[in-house]
Parts: sequence; structure tokens; C-alpha cells
Amino acid sequence: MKKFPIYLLVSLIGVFLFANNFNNEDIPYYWEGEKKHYYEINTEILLIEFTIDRIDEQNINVAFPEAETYRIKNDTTLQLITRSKLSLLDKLSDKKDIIQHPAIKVKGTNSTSFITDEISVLFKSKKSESEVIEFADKLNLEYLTETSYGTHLFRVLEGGRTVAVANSIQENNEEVVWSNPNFVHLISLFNDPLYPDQYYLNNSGQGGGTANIDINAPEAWGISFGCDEIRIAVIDDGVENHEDFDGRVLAGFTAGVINTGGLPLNHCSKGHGVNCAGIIAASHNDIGLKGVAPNSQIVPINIFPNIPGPLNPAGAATNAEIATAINWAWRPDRGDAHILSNSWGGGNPNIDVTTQITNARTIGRNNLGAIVIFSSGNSHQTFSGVNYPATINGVITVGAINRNGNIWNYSRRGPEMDLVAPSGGLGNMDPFTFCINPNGDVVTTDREGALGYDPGNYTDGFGGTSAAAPQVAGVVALMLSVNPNLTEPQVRTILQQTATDMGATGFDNTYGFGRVNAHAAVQAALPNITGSDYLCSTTPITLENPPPGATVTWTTNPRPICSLQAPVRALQQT
Amino acid sequence: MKLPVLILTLFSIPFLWSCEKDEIGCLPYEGEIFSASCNGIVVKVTNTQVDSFFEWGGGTMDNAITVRIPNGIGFEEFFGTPINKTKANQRFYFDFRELLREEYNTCTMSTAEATQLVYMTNFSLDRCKADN
Repeated sequence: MKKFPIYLLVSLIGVFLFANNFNNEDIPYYWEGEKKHYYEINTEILLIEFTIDRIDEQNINVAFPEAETYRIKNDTTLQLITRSKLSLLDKLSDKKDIIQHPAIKVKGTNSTSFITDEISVLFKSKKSESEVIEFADKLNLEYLTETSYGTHLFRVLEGGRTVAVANSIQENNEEVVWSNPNFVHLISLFNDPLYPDQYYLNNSGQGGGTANIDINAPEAWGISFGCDEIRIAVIDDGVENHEDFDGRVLAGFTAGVINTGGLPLNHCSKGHGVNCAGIIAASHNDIGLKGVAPNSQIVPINIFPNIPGPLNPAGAATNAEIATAINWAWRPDRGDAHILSNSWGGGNPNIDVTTQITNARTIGRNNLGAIVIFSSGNSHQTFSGVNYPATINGVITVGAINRNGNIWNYSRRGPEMDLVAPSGGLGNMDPFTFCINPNGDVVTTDREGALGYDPGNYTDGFGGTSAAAPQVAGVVALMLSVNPNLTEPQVRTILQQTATDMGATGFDNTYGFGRVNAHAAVQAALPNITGSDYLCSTTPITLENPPPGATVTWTTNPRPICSLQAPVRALQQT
Repeated sequence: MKLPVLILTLFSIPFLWSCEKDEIGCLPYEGEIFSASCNGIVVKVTNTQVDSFFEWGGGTMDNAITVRIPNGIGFEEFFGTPINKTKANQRFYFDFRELLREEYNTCTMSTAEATQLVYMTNFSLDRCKADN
């Protein structure tokens, strides 16, 4: 009887060890030499391989903007790494030998690798080619090559068995030192750590969202990251030179009598402008997040120069002061901004403010017209129509959808609506401190240190139509970077025509023309090329409105059968 | 036939009289501070139903209105600037009118607002003058 507890204890230990072993065996793994790595499949990203008659390396990014990066496997095989699987597969429907290679994430690391159909084997002793081929035949492998450092590469002929075959050789074959899958690794130059949470840029379903309910930012970056000649005025409560802006915040303007030069006041409610600016222009680097147009310059304009309190919780400037600030933003001898991003509204329509916004739109940007973007407003439950000044003719009005593509209850709507963009829920003010309690889910920059909405330099709680408008401002910055000669009406029309339709077919008062589509908008903004389809035609080929100093690269497909000199001479810049 | 009606009428008079008496010098709304917004203090009305709610990322509070507090009405004098936390649970009585369009503040667009915006026209810690 006394032995019973010992039996029980031993049994429990046995069950525990068995369960532990059983659990581990359920987790997929591979061998790196003697080291076993457990991993999980990463469904957010995929490597798609296909064959093509000829690979035009110069134009891969343009031809496949859905791809984050690519690898040329051989003369006719291209590998594209994408987070937009469906749209890319749709585009590749006429291509041959399409193979999808899954991504894995090794536990305890941040790296992403793709399982291909190749394995790498190092034999204990030197083998002749015939012995290697015999080895391959026995295991249903195709022998590919011997590397310069003595390993042999094989193709696993049985689809989907790469890791299993590599493991089996490692574990059961006395002839080998190691056997491991020949992964393709995703090596990113920049690894902004918060980027995976920026569903509004690239929605892979993270956080319960719906894949592709985003603005197609990575696809647009295949064309342009923007440039520092584009200036965006963030008309808000000020912007400081945050660590993730890399010094791209210019001298600005503050409305009223306290001249902070566009910097925010030091109060816990004054992080809104920094939040908006991060969405637009955060650097692509190894810290923080990714902005939509990371190379753009920010012109900070502060129109909320007062500390809030029970009698004045808004802390806004007067109408005349706001109008002065807008005037400062677009005037060529002041801010000279190309884009005015406005995540504010309310108040009664005012002729001073309206006139300055209209002047910006019509005579700003050297008479091409500055692009003025406004949030539609957050009080749909109370009011019909969008917020003033979003009501002003020609202003681009932006509402908010959630990460599943549904319009937020709060997002104001009406016939003035243009676009929507993904955003989070609304914050509220602490009645004792008038600090903001952020309750959204948009990741962006925050005031540095203790002054912001969240501790540290970033927040994951931004939201409202405030977070939607800056996304459109960033998209416009990308558009102007590839074609700065577009007029203000042309930019507006492109944004409307390239939007991803949502809600009722065509324009509707809730979603406007739909969700802003950065890739389609930037693509449509590229200068048009008109002329003959025949390479040796004597008809001039015209490139409309190329950006100043632009380099024109000319390629043809199929390969030319006559000299390229003729079409190049015929190219006219207008 | 008329006697029951007469009795009923006589029986009702004291109630009618007392009801009228109760409302003289009394403020119709009782509330407590719930939050703040760009246009004022968000007040939860605790003695009656108002057709307004406050919806933010953290949830929805029914029967909440945004109240613009005018200078000198007594609110700030009692609760302080910033609002004194030790007094925050104090219920108060007030009356209001609709906030006029031209009285709306210019606001950033990341925070919530109650669906009804009002302007405080009277404030007291006591419901009726008779209580003073």
C-alpha cells in the first residue's frame, strides 16, 4: 500500500513526459546540422514561382507591384514574394508551372523563410557523381549540383515533402553529416518593428481583420517611396521632430500669440499632429513604423495652441488665426506645401477659413493647386452631412472604415464624400487631466517620452477619421513624386477613379468613391506615353509631363529586331 | 353618478398641487461627470432619459450628453480647474439648451462626442431652491 504514491508519481511523470514528447512531435521542425528548429507556417506571406519566356529584370517591380521582392531563380524562372496572394495569382493566371512555396517562422525568431523544393546534403565522404545520382534515385530526388563548399543540392520530386525528406535523410542515413531544406530567406533592408501591426497599409487578416482591407501601400512602394521635394503641411496641434522622421520636419507655424514654430505645446492632449504625421511620413528604417510616403517633408502647422480645460476643451485657435495658419502653409514664401492634411473640423462655416482653403487649392503649388484633404468627421450619430471644412468644394473628404471594411458608426457621410481608409475606434478625454485616452487600433508615432498618448514614442491606439485622412495625404505625396505636374483636379480625379469601390456600386454617400488604392493611384499618376506601338515607326512617341530631371528607361517586349536609336530619338518630352 | 367623479377630483387636488410645488425653482436634470470631449464635459444624466449616448472605442454609455460649461455658472467654481478628483462623484443638477451650430468648437477627429450637444443654462448642487 505504501508503494502506491510512488507508483502514482512515476505514472504521472511518465504521462507528462509522453504528453510533452507527443506535443513536440506535433510541431513541425527541420534540422540545421545537429540542431532541431521548430517552426510554424506563416500564412501572411508566400513565395510564388513560375516560368516565363524572358525575365525583364528592369521592370519586375512595375510588372508585379504585388510583390514585396523577387528572386530570379534561372533564365526563365521567377520567384515573387507577396502578401497579396490572390491578386498576384489572378495576374499570373496565364503563366506556366506556378508553384506556391509556404513561409515559415522559426520559433523565437523574427525571420521569414520559404520552403522550396530543394534540399542541401553534406556527405561524410567524397562521392562520385554516379554515387550521388544513385543516392538521389533511391530517394526520389533529382540531383542538381555540387556547391563550391562541397554540399550537394537535390530537388525533392514529391511535392510538399521537402522538409520531411530532408529530416528523414538527416535522421536515418549514416552517409550524411547534415541534410536540410534549402530555404529562400526574406532579407529585408528595413525592419520597422511595428509594421506587422499596420493593417491599414497591408491587411493580412492580423488582429481579426479581413485580408486586403488596406490601401495597397506595399504595392505602391514598388513604384515610389516618395521624395523629399514633396512637402505636406500637417495642420493640427503641432509636430515635433520625432525619431522616426529622420529630421524631415521643417520649420512651421503656430496660430495665435504663442509662437512655437509648429511644435506642439507640452500637454498630454497634444499628440494628435504627431500621430497624423507618422501615418504620412514615418521613415522606413529599423525603428517604429512605416509611413505611406517615407521620404516626404512635413510642414508642421499648429492650430490648437491652447491648453484644454473644462471651459475650453478644444484648445483651438480662432477662425482668423486658423485662416492665417492655412495661408502660411501653402504660400510659396512660407510653408510652400504641396499637400494640406487636415484631421480636424467643426465650428461654423467661416469665410476667412473657406477663402484660404480655396486659395490653397487654386493658386497653391505654383498655380497647379495644393491638394487639400480633410477628415469627414466623427459625429455621424448626431449630424447628417460631413463636417465643415470638409464641405468646401474641391476638398478631398475622407471617412473611416474598420479593418473588416465596414463603415464606422461615427464616420460622417454625405454627397461631399470622396474616399474612405481603414482606421480604429474613437478615444475620449480624461475629464480630470484632459489627456486623451486612445481607444483605437492604428499604430503610429506618438509624442516622444511621457508627453504622448502612450508611454514611449509610439501608440497603437489612434483612430477616428483623423487616422484616415493622413493615409490619403501620403498617397498623394507618392503620386506627386512620380508626376509633380499633375493639377489639383487631376489628382482628385485619379484618387476617385482608382479607389476600390465599397458599399453600393459606384459613388455613394457613405464610402464616397471607395477605399483609397495607393498602388492604382500612383500607377495612374505616372506620365502617359502616347505614340505608335511599332518600334520602328517614324511617328513620334510622347511622354507627357515627365518629372523634372527624370530618367526615362526604354525597354521593349519582345526583344527589338531593329536598332533602339530610332524610338529614343523620337521620344519627346513635353 | 357624479359623486365618484367628485371624490376622485378632490382626492387628486393635493397631488396636483404638490407636483407643481416640487417643480418651482427645481432643476430638471441630475447628472455626474463621465468623461470629456472636444465640445465640453460628458455628463451622464441619472434622473431621466435623454435621447443621447456617448460611443467611443472603449464602449457605449447611454444617457450621456456633452455639456458646454459657461464661465461663471458655478460648475468650475465647485469642481475646479482641472476637475478635482475627490469631488468627481458629486451629483449635480442642471438645465440646458441645445448647443447652437455657431457654438461648436473646432476639434481634432480622433475622439468621441456625445450624440447630443447642449449648453448649460443653470447649475446647482441642490435640485430645488427650497432645499437650500
